[in-house]
Amino acid sequence: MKRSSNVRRARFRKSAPMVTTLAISVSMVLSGCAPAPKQEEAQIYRNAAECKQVYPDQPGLCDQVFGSAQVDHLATAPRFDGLAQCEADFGVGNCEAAPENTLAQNSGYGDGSVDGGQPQQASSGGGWFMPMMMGYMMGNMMGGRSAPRQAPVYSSSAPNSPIKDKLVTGKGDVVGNRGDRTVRAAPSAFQKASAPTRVTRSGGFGAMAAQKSQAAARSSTSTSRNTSRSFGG
Amino acid sequence: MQRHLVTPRSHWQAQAKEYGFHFHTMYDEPYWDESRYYAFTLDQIENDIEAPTEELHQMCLEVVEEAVNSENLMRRFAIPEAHWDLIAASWRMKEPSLYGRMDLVYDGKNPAKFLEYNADTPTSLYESAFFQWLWLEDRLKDGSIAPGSDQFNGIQEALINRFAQLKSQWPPLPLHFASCEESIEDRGTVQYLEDCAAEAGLETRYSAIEHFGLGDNDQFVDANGEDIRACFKLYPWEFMLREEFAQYIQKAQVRWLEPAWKSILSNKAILPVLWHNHKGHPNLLPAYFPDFMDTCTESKLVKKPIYSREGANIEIIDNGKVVESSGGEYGEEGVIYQGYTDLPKFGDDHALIGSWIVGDSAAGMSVREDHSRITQDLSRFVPHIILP
Repeated sequence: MKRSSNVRRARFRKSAPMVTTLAISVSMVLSGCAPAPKQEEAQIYRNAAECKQVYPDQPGLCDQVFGSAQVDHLATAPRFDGLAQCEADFGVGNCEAAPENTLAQNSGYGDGSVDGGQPQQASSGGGWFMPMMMGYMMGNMMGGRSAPRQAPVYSSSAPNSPIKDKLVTGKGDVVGNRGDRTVRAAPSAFQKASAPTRVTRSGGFGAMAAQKSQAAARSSTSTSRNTSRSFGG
Repeated sequence: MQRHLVTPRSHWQAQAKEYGFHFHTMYDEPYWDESRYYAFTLDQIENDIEAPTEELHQMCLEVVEEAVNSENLMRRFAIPEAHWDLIAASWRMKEPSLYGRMDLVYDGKNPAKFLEYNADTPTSLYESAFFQWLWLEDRLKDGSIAPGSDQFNGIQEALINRFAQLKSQWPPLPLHFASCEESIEDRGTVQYLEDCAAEAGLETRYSAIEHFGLGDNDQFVDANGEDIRACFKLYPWEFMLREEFAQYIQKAQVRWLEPAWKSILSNKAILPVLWHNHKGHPNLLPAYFPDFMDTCTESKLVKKPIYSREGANIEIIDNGKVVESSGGEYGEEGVIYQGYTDLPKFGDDHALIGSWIVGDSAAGMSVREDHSRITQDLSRFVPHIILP
């Protein structure tokens, strides 16, 4: 056979097939209501193996999401300039040395205040510490068209910490309690904890396309379509 | 190779809606046209399209090797000198490519002739890889084509496999997808590729190319401020290398799809170089740089800008006279001349073959029809079958 065995996968379907009248009216009623701030259900897993127990048919996706969480953990976990400072917030035995090569890109972490009460960070130097990743929170596996959202989560056993026995994301959003398997989190809780990158400039690509489009729109002699044309070929 | 007229499926528009194929009609003109289809034999597909496509692809890669070692060629390809190293490095590092589409003239009898290689920003992908496949499946079910009919269309499987391969080679980075904000068609193509990448387990993001920003470490960032570390861009290298952010490309260290060396393949200056290297090859048309026209023996020629998209600024020249031309905004970087060859005509329509490459392998085919001899952006996409 010279063709794909099957291209018809769920991800490629963009709307329900031939919605019935009833379904349309229901969805219109629903969309008429002002939506409450949306929270989504998320699962907490300590590792990929736990995910695979729940989704035995999706081992690859479980590995991928766990891998992403680990990468995000390394890149975005809160940084402390001493083990004692880290353990003061997260508890004895819950902190580890931060990898050297991730410091530069996280040098701005902590510029904003953090709900969980973690301290502000300095911006350079070695010998940094960060909490160990307790696990990760994963959004709906079947919901979207791309990979499910995830965020590393941490917990604290420090007696005086405001996040003691809570589940907290790298940027300090408390999403539940230690031991929860399912939590409800605002979409913003999945956002990366790294300090927002300062964008020094934007719009540096696209000028030639705009110029060609405008020139084409001016010349009305062409029978070809003259706006919104493809820049592919 | 035959064309058959057929009644379109009654539900095709509903199906297009269901699968998000929003550009089947563009600018009040039909684009997806299933009132006809083309039928090929397996022999035609395998010997006349598939095999020559892979051979031509290898011949084109040889030109990249040649060009990155030749200032003369880099000038003829109008690559800005500041970016020669970028392109040479991307080639030497063997930066992986994703896909491309060759345009071929083929009439079912004579060897296919290579017109050009859309190797950087190929479109008509979704309709080739996906919607054409659905059409075949439905037509097999309703019995309007012979049982056992097939299609040269392993494109989607090949793309997903290719993305999976890239995923295994790359560190776990999200892959950004970018296109021009204003083009619905390009957005559709990019969405499709994004879906294929997600099927392969990659994490994906979309950003309009106009929304790219520069971060404080001179890295590229998307509108959310997230670093762009790997990016598929449906936006031509020849534009990117001439725009404000061009100076940051080297430092930004993005894994680009297509990689920068594709700017050699998608450039029509490759045609005279191929002809020079393989003069008389059955799948090549004679082609010349303007300063080599004294070696040209053909009286009928097509003048093409080395950078041109969707059939813009093409002239058909017969004995020195322009007999047909298309308007447009391209050509200032230089032109080449290619020997004229007739596109096969079916009824009032000229048919052009698109032959798809994923990685280094031929993966499928599409047919476009145009009333004009110059296939442009108002051409129509027509599905095909392989006869059982």
